[in-house]
Amino acid sequence: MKLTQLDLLEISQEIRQCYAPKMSDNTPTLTLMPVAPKHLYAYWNLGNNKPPPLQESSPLPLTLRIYSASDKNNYLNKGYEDIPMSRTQSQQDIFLAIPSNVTSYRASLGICFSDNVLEVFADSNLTQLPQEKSSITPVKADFRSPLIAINKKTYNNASGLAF
Amino acid sequence: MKHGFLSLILHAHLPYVRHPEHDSFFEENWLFEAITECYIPLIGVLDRLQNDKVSYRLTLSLSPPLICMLRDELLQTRYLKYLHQSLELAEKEIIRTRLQPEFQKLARLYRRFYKKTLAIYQNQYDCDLLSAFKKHHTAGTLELITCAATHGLLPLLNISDIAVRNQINIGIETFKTNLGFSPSGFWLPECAYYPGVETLLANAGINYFFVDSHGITNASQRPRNGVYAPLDCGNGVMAFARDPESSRQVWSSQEGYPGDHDYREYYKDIGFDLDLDYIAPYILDSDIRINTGIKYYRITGTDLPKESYNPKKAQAKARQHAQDFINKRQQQIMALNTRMDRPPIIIAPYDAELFGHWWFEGPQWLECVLRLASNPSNPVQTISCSDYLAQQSNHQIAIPSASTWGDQGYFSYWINETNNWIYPFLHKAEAEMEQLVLDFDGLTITSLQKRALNQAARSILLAQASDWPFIMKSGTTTDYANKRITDHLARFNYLHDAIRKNNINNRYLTALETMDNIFPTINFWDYLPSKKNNDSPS
Repeated sequence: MKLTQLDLLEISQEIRQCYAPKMSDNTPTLTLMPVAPKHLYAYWNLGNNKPPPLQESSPLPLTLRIYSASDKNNYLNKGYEDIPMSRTQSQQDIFLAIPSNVTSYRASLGICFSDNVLEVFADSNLTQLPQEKSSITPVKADFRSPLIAINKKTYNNASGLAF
Repeated sequence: MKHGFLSLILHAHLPYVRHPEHDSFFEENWLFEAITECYIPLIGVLDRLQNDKVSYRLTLSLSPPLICMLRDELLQTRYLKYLHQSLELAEKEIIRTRLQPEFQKLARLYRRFYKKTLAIYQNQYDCDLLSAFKKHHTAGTLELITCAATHGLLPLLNISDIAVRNQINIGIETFKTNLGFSPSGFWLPECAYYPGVETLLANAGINYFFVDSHGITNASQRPRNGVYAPLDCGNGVMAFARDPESSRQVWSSQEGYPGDHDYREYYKDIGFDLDLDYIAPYILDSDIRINTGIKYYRITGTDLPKESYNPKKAQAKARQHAQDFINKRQQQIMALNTRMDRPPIIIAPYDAELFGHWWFEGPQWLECVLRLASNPSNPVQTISCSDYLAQQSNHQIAIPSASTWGDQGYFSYWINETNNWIYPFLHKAEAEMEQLVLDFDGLTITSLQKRALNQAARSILLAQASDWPFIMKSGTTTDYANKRITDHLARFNYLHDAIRKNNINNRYLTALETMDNIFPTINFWDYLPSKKNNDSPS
């Protein structure tokens, strides 16, 4: 089958318009990702059937409960760290107050009641964070990916700066 | 007598930029500029060293997207057109600068440069640069290794083992298909390592990989030899660490060689300097100014009027910098020798595209370094990591720490407020693909379904490239990066929907196969949790 450039362009545009990515999954999910030592990124989707507390006018806070996957009992002496999460977002950066020897984590997202019981809406994957043993002085790569780092729209002529 | 080793590694990678749906496309110039300014000059260096019987070892990592683009007929044809256009502009410049002898001399230099490039590309290697690299591999001077399928940042894809496994295995398969042998080493995209990836590398037959310095200094055991000997990850796969000192000398704009005032100024290109009417045929859509590659000035210095470029002076400076580099490695090795239980190996990895593009004189510097290192009186010997491992045994066992060679040393350049929106979509598509393949397990599959499933796998892999979040963070061609990732995810969504509904449109599928023709031998069964060995259903 021979297709013209115009055919390709039209099919490409139609697919982009009709099938652009969107989060429509109704399955509750929570995903943790590593960013840096003591820094995680979490995103979640509680699905359409949110539990009642989320729909009340004065809802209890949404809480991310983080466990050390390697030593659940000793993590912060109580086995977990609770972090308040945004109710209006579905993603958040997480900065941990943790001992540096902990690197593997799991988490649960839910509503935390006054007795510290968490009503869990979603459980996360296991993630590993880098350890921060020594301060690093990374060699700054000023020439990283030079070819793709040129902006054709905002590129300035002869900046006068040596890179 | 040699007291230690220097391993120079060039990592050559560009994202897959191929747009048959357009007559010409700006981002394809990334490839054309790299071929002209980096890859062919590098081949020129290797050919001259071979002709002069210089004994050296160099490692070149070829990323799978680059391998596929260098073998692509459409891009080969378009590159020839680009090169002829550059030659035409250089000839036009010789006439325009007739009253400016300094510039005219440079215009003639560019004409010679483009003519030579054309001769090497078309006549010497028949438009197949991979054959040039393979020639030097066969000669035993160039070690060729590869990288993940689309340069995906593996620690951020590690929500799924299958995603990481396929990035590794499909990358290696692409290399084997095009180069005809298995690579011994593997370049982790952005040197991004997480504990556990060595298992997948071992399963793929890989012997070694690279991490940044702190990946080794922060390893599970204190490294006895610092970053100057590899660590055995516990399964026989070795991790080599980047040497910060030799990296700084080349990478840094403050301390590094490329910022020397005698070198050619990258930022002053006639594409931006000359009248629009004159330069229009050689820029984007005749009205958007872009680099043409013709530049007449040297860096000169901050806040000073730019002075014209003097190639001889720049060449002398490249030789001087090469000597300085070798002297410093000698000093390093002599000092390390007294403290180590084995000969030290200094790992000096760089992006291949630095040499010739940003740093016009980079290939000359590299050639001088390799010539100087080959001198028998020099205590530093160039070596590949494979050769080093063949010579040395009983490596310390420890697990490197998660790390990258990017800004801040971890993953924040690829996951931050500018680009974190992509990950839920990438992970969702991956999960849907795996489920789709699982659902087909045991069913009879038509050739149309097979094509659609293979194309869906290509779409996912193309969406996973680390280049898109990198560009979003760097704030350069962000529209293009957004469009590319959106397109690949939309194409996956379309194919997933069509396959699920058994409503695959051959015309649409053919269009997607034409536009995203990377990895022609891909096998969608690779997305099955327990991978099949053939492509028939169970």
